[in-house]
Amino acid sequence: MTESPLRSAYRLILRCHPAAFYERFGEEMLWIFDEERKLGNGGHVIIDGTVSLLRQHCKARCAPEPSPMDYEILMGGSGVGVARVMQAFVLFSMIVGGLLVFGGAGHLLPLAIRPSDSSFRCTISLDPPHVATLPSTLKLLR
Amino acid sequence: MEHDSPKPAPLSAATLHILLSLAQEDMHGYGIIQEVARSSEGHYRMGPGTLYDNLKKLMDAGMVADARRSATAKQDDRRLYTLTAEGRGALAMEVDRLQKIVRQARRRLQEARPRSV
Repeated sequence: MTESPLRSAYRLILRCHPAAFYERFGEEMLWIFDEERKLGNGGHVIIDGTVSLLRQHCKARCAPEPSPMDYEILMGGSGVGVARVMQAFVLFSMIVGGLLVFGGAGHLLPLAIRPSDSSFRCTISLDPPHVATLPSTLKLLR
Repeated sequence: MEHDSPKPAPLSAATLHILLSLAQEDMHGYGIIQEVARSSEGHYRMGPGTLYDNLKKLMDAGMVADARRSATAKQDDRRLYTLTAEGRGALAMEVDRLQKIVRQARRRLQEARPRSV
């Protein structure tokens, strides 16, 4: 059974949330979307999801939760690059979501890039140059 | 001079509604949304993004926790949320604060007499 464009858009919005938030609440939010859609509130939930996406990324930016991976990214000096990629991704997903909801451009969905998954940050963090620079950076800090 | 402990900040409308819903019984996310809509007579219907953002804050603050599930409820894979003692205390303090405001408002409205022109 194929998924409706509206549901795909909402799923995409959810996948763009910070990984910890998505893993914890993503499935429940999608279930609520399905229930609300039956009542004709799908558009309202999409807008709510988009606002939530911005809110969660702003929060993650303002007060990031400390984790070894974050530390590694910052120490490796690639923090700006990661942030730029995330910003571009969030902006792109909002445009696609907007087209799907308000423009009836459901045919664009197959062209949309694959949503990020929980391994996104790990993939960047485990990039060899970052791993290689970490011990020397730690030594400097001591 | 005696120093009072810092007063907690007033709760937002969404937080207050979530705590009020959970004060009644343990609920899953959609149950909270429905209860809030019912208790506000349809005036306030929060979306899942708003709900889980506030639930996360409340859980981080220790006011709400995952509920232990009964044997029958275990078949249902939806998570239930419960109000902790801290959450109940925060809700009671907020209700006291609102009561004071209502009392003050009533007093001022009674005192205020329409001026004769």
